Amino acid sequence: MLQRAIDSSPHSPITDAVPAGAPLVRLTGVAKDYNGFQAVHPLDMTIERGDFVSILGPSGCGKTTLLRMLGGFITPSQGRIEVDGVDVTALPPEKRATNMVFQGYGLFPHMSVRQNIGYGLRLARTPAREVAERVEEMVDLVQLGAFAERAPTALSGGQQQRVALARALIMRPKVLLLDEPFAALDLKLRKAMQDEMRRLHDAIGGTFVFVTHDQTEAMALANRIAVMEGGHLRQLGTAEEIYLHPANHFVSAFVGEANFVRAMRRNGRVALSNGLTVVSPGEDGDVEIGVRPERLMIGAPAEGADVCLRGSVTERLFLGAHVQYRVLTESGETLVANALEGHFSPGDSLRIGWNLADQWVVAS
Amino acid sequence: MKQHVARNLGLVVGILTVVFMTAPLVLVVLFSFNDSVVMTFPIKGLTFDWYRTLLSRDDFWGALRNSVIVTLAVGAGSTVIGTLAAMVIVRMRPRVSALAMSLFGLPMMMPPLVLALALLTLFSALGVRLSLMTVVLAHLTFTMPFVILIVTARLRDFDTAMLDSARDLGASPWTAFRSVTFPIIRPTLFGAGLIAMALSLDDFIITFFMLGGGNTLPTLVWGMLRTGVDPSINALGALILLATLGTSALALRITGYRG
Amino acid sequence: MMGVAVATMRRNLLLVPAIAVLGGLFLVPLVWFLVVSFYRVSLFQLVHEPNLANYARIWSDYLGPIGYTAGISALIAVVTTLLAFVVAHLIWSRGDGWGNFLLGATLLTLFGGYLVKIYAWRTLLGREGIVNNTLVGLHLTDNPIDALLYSPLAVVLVLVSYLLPFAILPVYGALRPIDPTSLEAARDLGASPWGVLRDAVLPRIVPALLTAFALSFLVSAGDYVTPRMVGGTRTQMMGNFIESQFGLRMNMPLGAAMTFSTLLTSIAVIAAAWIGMRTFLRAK
Repeated sequence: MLQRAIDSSPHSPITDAVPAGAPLVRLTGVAKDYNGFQAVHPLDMTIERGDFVSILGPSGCGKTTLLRMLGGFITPSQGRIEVDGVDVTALPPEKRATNMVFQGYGLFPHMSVRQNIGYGLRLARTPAREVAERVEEMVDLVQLGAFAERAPTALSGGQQQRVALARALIMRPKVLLLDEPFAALDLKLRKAMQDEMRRLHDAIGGTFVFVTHDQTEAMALANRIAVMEGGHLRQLGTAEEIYLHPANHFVSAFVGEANFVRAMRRNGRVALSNGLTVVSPGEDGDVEIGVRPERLMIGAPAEGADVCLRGSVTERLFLGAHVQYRVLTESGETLVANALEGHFSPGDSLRIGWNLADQWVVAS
Repeated sequence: MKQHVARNLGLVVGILTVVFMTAPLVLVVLFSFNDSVVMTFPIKGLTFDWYRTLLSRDDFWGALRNSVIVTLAVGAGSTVIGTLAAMVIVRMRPRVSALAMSLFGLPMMMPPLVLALALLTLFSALGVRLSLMTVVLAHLTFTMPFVILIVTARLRDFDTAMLDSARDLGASPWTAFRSVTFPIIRPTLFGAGLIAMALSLDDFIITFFMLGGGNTLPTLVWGMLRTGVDPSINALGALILLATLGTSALALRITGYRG
Repeated sequence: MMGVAVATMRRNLLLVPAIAVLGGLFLVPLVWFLVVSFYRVSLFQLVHEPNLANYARIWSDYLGPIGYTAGISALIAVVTTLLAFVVAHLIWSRGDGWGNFLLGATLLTLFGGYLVKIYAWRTLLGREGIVNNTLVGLHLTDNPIDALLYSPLAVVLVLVSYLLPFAILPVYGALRPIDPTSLEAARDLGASPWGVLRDAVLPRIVPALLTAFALSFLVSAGDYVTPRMVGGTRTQMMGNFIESQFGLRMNMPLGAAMTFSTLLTSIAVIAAAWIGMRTFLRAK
C-alpha cells in the first residue's frame, strides 16, 4: 500500500537533487540571542542530501530554536543559513523550500483533512486537478482514506500527526523539519510512528531534520545525531559514534547510561587505578574515564580484562533482560554493571573490569 | 520590510483607535478639575469647585440614594436568579443547554430602547405604577444573562469529582452545595454580581422610561445635559466613572476574566 | 429511578425565577408590544381593534427614515467591527506590554457612563471645542468647522467610540483559543502574513465578528440619545421617531409598529451581513 503510493508519485525529492558534492544545508556561525539570553551559541553544521538528522537534547538546549531558524520562524542574530547553495537567512518561512511538522501539529480546525493537506498546493496556485491527485496520493500514503472528509479535531492523536506529516510532505520540501512530532503520543503509538517514519524516509528519500529529547527515538530514526546542550552543539555523528565515543561528559551522560572513574592526565597519558597507563592526547588535568554498564564485566571474566578492580556488591536488581549490580570499588567509586547472569548477592566481593576498547576519556 | 510596515501600521491604527475610545473619559476627568467654564486646552488652573457645586445640589443626593438602591437590588437579584439558572443549565444535555443559553442571552442583544418601551407598554396596560421597583425589574432582564454566562462558564470548569466525594462522605445535595460548591465559586458570584451592578449603574435609556419620579445618577446627568454647558457634569461623570470602574475592576480581578 | 426523576424535577425548579424574569419581563412584554402595534389610540386610550393602519403609515411615511437609520447604523457597525478586529488582533498577537495595555484600556472604557461620554464628545467637537481649536491653531482651517457637531458624522463618531469596547471583547475572546502553531503552519506552507489572516484567522472568528456587527448595528438603530444630543435637527433616526411616540405624541401603537419595522430591517441587515461574512470569510 505504502510502496504503491510512493512509486506512483511522479518524482520524489531525491531524484530532483541537483549537483552532488555540496551539502544541502550549510549553517555557518548561526546563533540566536534573545536580549542577552544566548539560546543558540554560534555553530556550524552541514546536512547532506538524504540525511535523516536528529537534533537531540534536553528541554531548553536550543534544539527547537535551531529548527525554527531552519524553517524561517526565527531570524538568527548572526550567521548564515544556506539551502541548496542559496542564502535563505533572511527569507520568511513561506518563501523557503522547507516544511515543518509542528509539535502540537497546528492543523486548521476549520478545514477537513483533505483541505488541510491541499492547503499549501492551493496557495502555490497548483491546478485544481493536480492538487486533488496529489492530495489523494498523500491520503493513501498516510492511510487516512476513511477520514479524509472529517475535521482534524475528530481524529485521534496519531491520525492528526499523519495529517500534519502529509500536509508538509505534499509540498515536496527540500528539507522536512519535524519538531518533536511524537511527543503527544503514547509509547506504543510512538514506536509505530517511528517505524512508519523510517519506512517513509527509506521510500521517498528526501532530507529530514528531527528534533527530539528522546535518545532512543533519535537512535531509532536518524543516521546522524546532533547532541545539543545549553545552546551549544556538543557532538554531531552517527549513533555509534555518539554512543561509543562520546566527545564530552554531557554527551556521555545524556545518551545512554555511563559510569565515570576519575583519573589524571599527564603528558598525554592517563593513569588507571591498577597502574596501567594509556595514551590519551589532551590537556593535562583531571579527566574522567567513561564505560557503559553493559560493557563492564564482573566475576571470573573480569580477571582477564584490560582493567580489573576489586569491589563488593551493594545492590542487585533483576530487570528482566538483564541484572543490574551496583558495585563499590576499593578505591571508593560506585559502578553500575549490567550482566546477563545474576548469581551475586549484596555483600559479595568480586572483581569488576573492562577492556580499553570500551572506554573513553573526557575532561571532567 | 513590508511585513514590518504592515505590523507597525496595525499598531498605529490600534493605538489611535484606543485613544479615540478612551479620550472622552480622560477629558471628563481632566476637565472636572479645570478652573474655567470653557473646556479647552491649555488648562490654566486646577480646582475642586465643580465637585463642591455638585455635592451642594439636593437632587444629587437623592439621585445617589436611588442609584445605590437600584444598583444593589439589581446586583443581588440577578446574581441569585442567574446562579440558580446556571446550576440547572450546566447539568443539561449539550444541545439543550446551548438552546437555553441563547434563549437567556436574547435580552443582551435587544436595544435598550425596545426593552424599555415594551415593558412600559405592558406596565401601563396592567396599571403598574412606575417606581424604583420597576427600574430594578427591567434591569434584571439584561443583567441576568451576563450572570448566567459567567457562572455557567465557571461551573463547567468545576471538578464534579469534588461533589461526588462530598456525597460519598455523606453530604446531602444541599450540604454539598453549601460546603463545597458555594465556597469555591463565591469569587465568581461576587464578580458576576459586580458586573451586573456596573451595567445597571451605567444604564440610562431603560431607567429613564421605568422611573416614575425622582432621579438616578444617569437621569440627573441627562437633566444637566439638557440645560447646556455645566462643567459639574464632568465632576459627576468622573464620580460615576470612578464607581463603575471601581466595581468592574474589582469584578474583573475577582473573576480573573480576560475576554 | 423514581428518585432520580424527582431529584431532576426538583433541580429544575431552580430555573423558575430565571424563566419568570425572561418570560414575564422580556418575552411577554415583547409579544404584547407586537400585539399593540396592531391597535390604535383614540383620546389617549388604546382601542383594541387589530388593523394594519400603523404599518401602512410606516410604509408610506417612514421608509426613508428607516433606510437612513439602517444606512447610518450599517456604517457604524462596519467601522466598529473593522476597528474592533484591529485592536483585538493587536491585543492577541502582541505578547509585549502593548497587548496588555490595550486590553486594559478596552476594559476601562467598557463602563464609562454612556451619557457622560456623549457629553465629552460634545465638548470635544463643539465650535469652541478642542478639535476645532486644534484645527484652527494648526492653521488647517481659518474658521471653526460647525459641521463637526450636530451632524451625522458626529453621530457616527460618538457611537463608534462608545461601541468599540463592546465589539472588541467578543472578537478578542474568539481569537484567544486559536492555536498559534496553526498560523505558523500556514506560513510554512506558503501563506503570506495577509494569507494567514485570510485563511487561518478570519474564517474561525466569523461568529464573533457577526456578534460585534449585530451588537453595534442594533444599539445604533435603537439609539435616540446620541442623534438628539450630537446629531442636530437634520439627523433624525428611527430611535427619535419611536421615542417621540411615547413622549409628546402618546401614540404607543405607532411607536410599537415603528419598533418592529426597525427590528425587522435590522434582522434583515444582520442576516445579509452573516451571509456576506460566510461567503467572503470562509475557508477556501
